Amino acid sequence: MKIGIFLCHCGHNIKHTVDVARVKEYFQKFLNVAVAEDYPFLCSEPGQELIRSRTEAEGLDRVIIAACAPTLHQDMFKDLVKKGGLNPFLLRRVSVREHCSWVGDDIGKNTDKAIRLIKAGVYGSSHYIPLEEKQVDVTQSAMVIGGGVSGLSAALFLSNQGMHVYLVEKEAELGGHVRKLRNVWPSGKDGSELIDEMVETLRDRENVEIFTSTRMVSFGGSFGNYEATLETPAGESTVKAGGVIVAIGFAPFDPISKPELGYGKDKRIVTTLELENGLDELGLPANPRVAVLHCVGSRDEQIGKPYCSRVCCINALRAGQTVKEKFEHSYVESFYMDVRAHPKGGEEFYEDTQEKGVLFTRGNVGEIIPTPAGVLVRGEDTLFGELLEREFDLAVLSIGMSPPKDNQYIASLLKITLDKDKFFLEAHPKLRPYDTALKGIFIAGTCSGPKDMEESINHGRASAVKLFGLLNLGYAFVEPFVAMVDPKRCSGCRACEQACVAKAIKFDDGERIVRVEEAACMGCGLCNSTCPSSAIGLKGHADSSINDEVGAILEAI
Amino acid sequence: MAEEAKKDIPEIVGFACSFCSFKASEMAGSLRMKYPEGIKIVQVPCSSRVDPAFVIKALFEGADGAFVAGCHPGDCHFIKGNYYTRRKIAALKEMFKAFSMDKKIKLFWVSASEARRFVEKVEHMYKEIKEGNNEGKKG
Amino acid sequence: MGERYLQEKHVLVVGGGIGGITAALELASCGVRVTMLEGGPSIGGRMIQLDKTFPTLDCSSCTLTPKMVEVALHPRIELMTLAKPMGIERNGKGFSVSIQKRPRFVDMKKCTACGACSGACVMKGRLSDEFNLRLSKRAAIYIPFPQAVPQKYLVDGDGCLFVSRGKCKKACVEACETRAINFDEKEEIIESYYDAIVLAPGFDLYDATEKREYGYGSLEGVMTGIEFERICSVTGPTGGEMVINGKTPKRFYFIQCVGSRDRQTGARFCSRVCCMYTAKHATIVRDRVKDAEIYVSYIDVRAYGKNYEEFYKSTQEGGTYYIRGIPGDITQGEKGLLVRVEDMLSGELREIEADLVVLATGVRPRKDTAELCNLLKVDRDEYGFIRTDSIAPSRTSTKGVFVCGMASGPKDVPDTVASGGEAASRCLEYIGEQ
Ligand SMILES: Cc1cc2nc3c(=O)[nH]c(=O)nc-3n(C[C@H](O)[C@H](O)[C@H](O)COP(=O)(O)OP(=O)(O)OC[C@H]3O[C@@H](n4cnc5c(N)ncnc54)[C@H](O)[C@@H]3O)c2cc1C
Ligand SMILES: Cc1cc2nc3c(=O)[nH]c(=O)nc-3n(C[C@H](O)[C@H](O)[C@H](O)COP(=O)(O)OP(=O)(O)OC[C@H]3O[C@@H](n4cnc5c(N)ncnc54)[C@H](O)[C@@H]3O)c2cc1C
Ligand code: SF4
Ligand code: SF4
Ligand code: SF4
Ligand code: SF4
Repeated sequence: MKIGIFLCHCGHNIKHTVDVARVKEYFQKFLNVAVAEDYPFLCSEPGQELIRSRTEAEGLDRVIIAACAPTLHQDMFKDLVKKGGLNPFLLRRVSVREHCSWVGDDIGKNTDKAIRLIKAGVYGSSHYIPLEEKQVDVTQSAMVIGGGVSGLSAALFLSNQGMHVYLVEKEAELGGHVRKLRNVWPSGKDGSELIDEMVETLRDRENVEIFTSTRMVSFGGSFGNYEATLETPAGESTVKAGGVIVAIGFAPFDPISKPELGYGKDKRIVTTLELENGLDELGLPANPRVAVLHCVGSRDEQIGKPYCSRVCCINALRAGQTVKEKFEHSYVESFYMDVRAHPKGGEEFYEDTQEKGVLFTRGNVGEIIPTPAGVLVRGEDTLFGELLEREFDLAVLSIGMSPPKDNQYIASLLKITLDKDKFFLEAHPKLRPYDTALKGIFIAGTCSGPKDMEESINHGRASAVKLFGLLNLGYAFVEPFVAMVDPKRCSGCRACEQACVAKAIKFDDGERIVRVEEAACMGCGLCNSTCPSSAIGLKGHADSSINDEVGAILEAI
Repeated sequence: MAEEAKKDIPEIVGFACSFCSFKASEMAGSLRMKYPEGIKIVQVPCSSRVDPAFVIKALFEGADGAFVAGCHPGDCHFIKGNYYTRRKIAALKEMFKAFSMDKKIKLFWVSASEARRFVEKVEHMYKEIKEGNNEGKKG
Repeated sequence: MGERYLQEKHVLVVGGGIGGITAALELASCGVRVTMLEGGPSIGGRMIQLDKTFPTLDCSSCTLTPKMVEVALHPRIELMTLAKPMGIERNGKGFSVSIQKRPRFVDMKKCTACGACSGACVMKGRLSDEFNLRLSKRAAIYIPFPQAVPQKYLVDGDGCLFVSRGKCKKACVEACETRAINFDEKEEIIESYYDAIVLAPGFDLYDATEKREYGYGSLEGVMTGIEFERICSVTGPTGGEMVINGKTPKRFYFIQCVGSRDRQTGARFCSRVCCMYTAKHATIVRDRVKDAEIYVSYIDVRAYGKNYEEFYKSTQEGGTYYIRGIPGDITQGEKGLLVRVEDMLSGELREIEADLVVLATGVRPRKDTAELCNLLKVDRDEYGFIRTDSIAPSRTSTKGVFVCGMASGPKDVPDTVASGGEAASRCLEYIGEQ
């Protein structure tokens, strides 16, 4: 066997706390190692060329890349060894950065650890077998869950490209929260008009099926061929989709959970969402005194919402302006920590609001107490360090965004992950902000965290483009890590068949052994560790491979 | 490795599932969280892939401890794998009780975003084992 | 579906930052042919100049380099560097574009990026390195940074003695084993037809010398945020060591909103990234200079993105002092720089000594986008950013021309990526209509 080991410095990241020269020297003398090289950035173009050319020139039959975590750049490295003439499944990644150089400071100890980890990679991969990526047909249709502005945007794009779209909305009406907004900032347009325009276009398209008042009750399948059961008013319906865009939005923060703010006890305490219906019904006096509270349900660790909701500063400014426009001589005071008027045009809007006479007080409001004369706002002025107590005729709570109500439900159906705040977790916060760990399943709009309408539209369409890119060929490749039965060892006890959640194992009555249905197998390996006869193994993660890794970690160096 | 040195630096082998715990350990790295270098991780697709034999092998080849880390119950990417894991590891611990070695085996749940929890769990285990080892030396 | 009708279509993407890269990759993965024009010698834009990115502090080149390589390797993407559009005319639904391609003087097919030429160049160590914001020196034949894409050297025509004055012994040509250097290369004009255009020309930064009171350019130890990024970076002028003028500073003072939210500088808008990049810088300092004293001056801390508030909190908890109030001036004191600031929370006028002051300069549209927009008859807003509407965030005033990234207004990386995808979607709809 000819093994090639490529060790990355990752600039400072590895080299600073791992003695790369010592590691290289160690492996140069190692049995069967034909190449042991180090390089500043293996992911750079010359780094890639180094791997490719050495693989080819030496005719390597194992390549170990000791660098960053195995999920990073995996496709690229696989592609490289393939170009160098090696089956890409004979590539082994060793995470020296995330699991060694970054988690320890002692260069000596880290270097020893790096050697052991790489050795585990060498031993483990010696049991690898060449595998082939299977081509599977994918269904050229998409399911969009949630008919808010992000879901509608995704559906519009996908259907425009000729994809069959199933749009699933739990409410009777499409449009989500934007439909409730009377004056959408910054356009000033009526939210329901914006939504109606989108919905009409969708209704005109033959390749769009809209399910309202519908709930998803089961979900299964794998990339390219997902299957869901929907509970529609007309009964159950099953749809097949190549991929899914989850756009279930947010839930407005409910200030009831902050009882000290008196919400729900007095009609003079309202949220920004309720203010969308105008001021008329509130019975305000001629020159009303209005308090606007920022950050209600956000930036508040006590209630477990440490995050900023991103849109509520603008909403608070909008509330102030609404009052000022109707009552020129009103007294409007905003209580804030920071004014996050960050969106395009936001700062100018903030200045405008100040010019219109809205006062800004940096303060923390502790409580709101309804009195016969008005509502008493009590707290601390954090600019002057004094207590504040003022009476108003109306208190407007600029509420934040909470995770959608069905977050847990959808997460467990689709097997996607929630973040610490219980929004959906994206695959990478910067470069894959709407992807999940699952191929073909995307999260768009506010269900992954607060966003305004423009950002939700961006998300909806951007994730739709990605999904389209995955499905437009009509076929795709899937990983071949599936279970495999050794017919000579199988005793036919059927323990694996019972264990397999994917129902991928079938008993062959004639031969009295089990067989694996590869398309259904998820590659978990449960059967492998269940089988008493070691007759069923998981490709790519064989017993011998894991055992030898354990051995390598504990062996003397 | 010299027997003495080993007592000071416990060696722990962990099996972490690709979708949750291994991800958390990756994130711990990206956040530059520190934990003892004696802790080394083997990646498995799902915690249910861990055959109790792997754990036994680790302990018999000289590890001071072994852990299996998976997604939280209900969060398993493979739906129910971690329930099986829980059963298997519980049985294994029971078996090791006979040799008072059950403390050397741990099972815990860490989701992909819980880098801090991951570090807390492994550090805690490391401390316990280290203290246990030192006591052993004294006695 | 897509593949069938889209492959005859050809889209021009102008700008190779993360915005342009995202749009190009998405378009190509849907089957469209793409030509990407990058004015500079490498793609990557501003992001590749950054050391780490907030709020996760993952290294910028680790996340971006693979995307850059993907662009270079993609069978449907044609990458042209040192190239920009010079003339554009509408032609039916599409555009006839003439592209100006400056000479590299190095044959891309032959250059192996070995670097021998650079070592031999007589101008070695004598020319300012733009990628490092002139904080370091390079030769006339050089590669802008180690992970540049394409991985090819180039000759800087202005700095090269042979190109600019016709007189040099051309040691580089001797040094190059593959005979890649070719001083006969001429500027080229390429004419081509495109079905649609995506603009992603990105941004510039406020010129801090305009703020005289901060002494940028005259006081030693006053630098901008982007310069500080290079100081932090392994590929930067100090190799990532936090060393300025031979010393490791101990007292750091960061000033936010320099040239933003400031009528005097003609920019009322908020630049949206400087609060967070300042928090990032403070965190990096805390990590690398253990006993550092760190101050940040601010008006509002705009930590609005996912996990940004938490990042800001942990920066504060890590021992960075946030002072609400923007300094009036900076002067040279006896024991360092003197920053005078009115702390609005205590009402006190304070004088704080610092070894290093970092100005978080705001975002500006690139000057040359004006030209580009005039060619395309694309409207710009009062500041010069490309005008769009909030319902179709990439649609410009000209049909068939789309925009993404910083060019339409300040955006951080995640927002730029989403806007790149959105631009690709509108563009696909447009070219599909025909
Ligand atoms: C008070 C307030 C004022 C605002 N004002 C503005 C403004 O002026 N300008 C602006 O740009 N932004 C504003 N926003 C933000 C704006 O509302 C959001 O950006 C936008 O609604 C996000 O769209 P979305 O599609 O992500 O989510 P949503 O609008 O929440 O839509 C989600 C949809 O998914 C559906 N759904 C949920 N669960 C399920 C399920 N299990 N199955 C099927 N369907 C499901 C919901 O019924 C809903 O229709 C405001 C927000 C608030 C709270
Ligand atoms: C100091 C600093 C720190 C930052 N830190 C972070 C951070 O930590 N996290 C984060 O999310 N964001 C950060 N940002 C923001 C981030 O840099 C931007 O969001 C991102 O670079 C925007 O990408 P872009 O593609 O729009 O523009 P750019 O990166 O500017 O790219 C534009 C590209 O187009 C090219 N180009 C321009 N005009 C033409 C033309 N006419 N023809 C051909 N090519 C042309 C340019 O050469 C350039 O390569 C930071 C910004 C600064 C200034
Ligand atoms: S956007 Fe403003 S009001 Fe909303 S949570 Fe953030 S700082 Fe508070
Ligand atoms: S690997 Fe998992 S899904 Fe596949 S057959 Fe075995 S138990 Fe079933
Ligand atoms: S010497 Fe030649 S091959 Fe080497 S970097 Fe310079 S131009 Fe390229
Ligand atoms: S992001 Fe922060 S520093 Fe930058 S202009 Fe806005 S408020 Fe000022």
